[in-house]
Amino acid sequence: MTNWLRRLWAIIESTVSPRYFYQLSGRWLPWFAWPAVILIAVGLVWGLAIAPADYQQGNSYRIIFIHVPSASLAMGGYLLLAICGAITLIWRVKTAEMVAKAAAPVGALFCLMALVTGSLWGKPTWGTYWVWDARLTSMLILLFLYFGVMALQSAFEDVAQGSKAAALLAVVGVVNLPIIKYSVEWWNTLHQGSTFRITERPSMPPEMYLPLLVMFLGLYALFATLILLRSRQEILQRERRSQWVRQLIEDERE
Amino acid sequence: MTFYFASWAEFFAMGGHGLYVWLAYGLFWGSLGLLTWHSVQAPKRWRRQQQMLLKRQRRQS
Repeated sequence: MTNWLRRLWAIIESTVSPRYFYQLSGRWLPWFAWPAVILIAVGLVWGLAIAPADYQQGNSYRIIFIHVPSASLAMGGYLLLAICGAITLIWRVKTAEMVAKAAAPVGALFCLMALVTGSLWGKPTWGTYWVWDARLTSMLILLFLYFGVMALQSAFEDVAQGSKAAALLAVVGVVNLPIIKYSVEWWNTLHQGSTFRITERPSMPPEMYLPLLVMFLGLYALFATLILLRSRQEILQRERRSQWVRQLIEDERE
Repeated sequence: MTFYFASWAEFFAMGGHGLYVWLAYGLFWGSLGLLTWHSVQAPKRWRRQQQMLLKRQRRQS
């Protein structure tokens, strides 16, 4: 039994080795990059020019098509950091450290953009750019958590040590995610409830939620593309002394 | 599947909320574009550097 487990572990370990992940991710890249380009192009035209205006908010609501996916990706990106962090701390898989390093700035940008686009939407809708309500404040805390993770990742001379410290913060900071998610229900906030719910019918007409869905998928595909691209670079940089990376660079000369 | 606005001028005005909508879209796609460009360029630049290094090492040996 233990022998069988050990063999299974060996297979998993080789699959998640940076070298194998590099090869695998190279094959995955076009499957995310092209859908991203197409879905985003369709979503942009649909959301900005074809979808009807909202009967209450007019055209300012069109910010929803970038705001909601940004916020979702900011949280999804942090969840990815936390999962990679847990894998780093428990199983010491190097690839998880590298993916976390690649994902942190991407997630942080989406978090910042969720705040910026929300603020620009808030002004014409609520009459203010910012309020210290539960949803907005917990989202700001998420941005600071991202900054903390990024700072720790590069704060140590030894890269592996920095990754471990950052992984710990990422795992602990995950408590903020349910707080963000339920903030609109637990506290009386200015922010509206969620637009999409898996268990319920969407609260918008299809002319509005279909372009949102397209943009959602497009931005998730772009997020995956960026993570893969950056992870691959992170792998090459950190493994630059290994034989296979040297060989890769040598082979490219011809 | 038709153009919602009556004219291009109305499209850019966004019913008086043009500033907010276009600023949000501009900042969002501008920053994402920069990040994507950087993510694509960084590996290329790094590989060029590594190859230069390799060449220099060869010449010395």
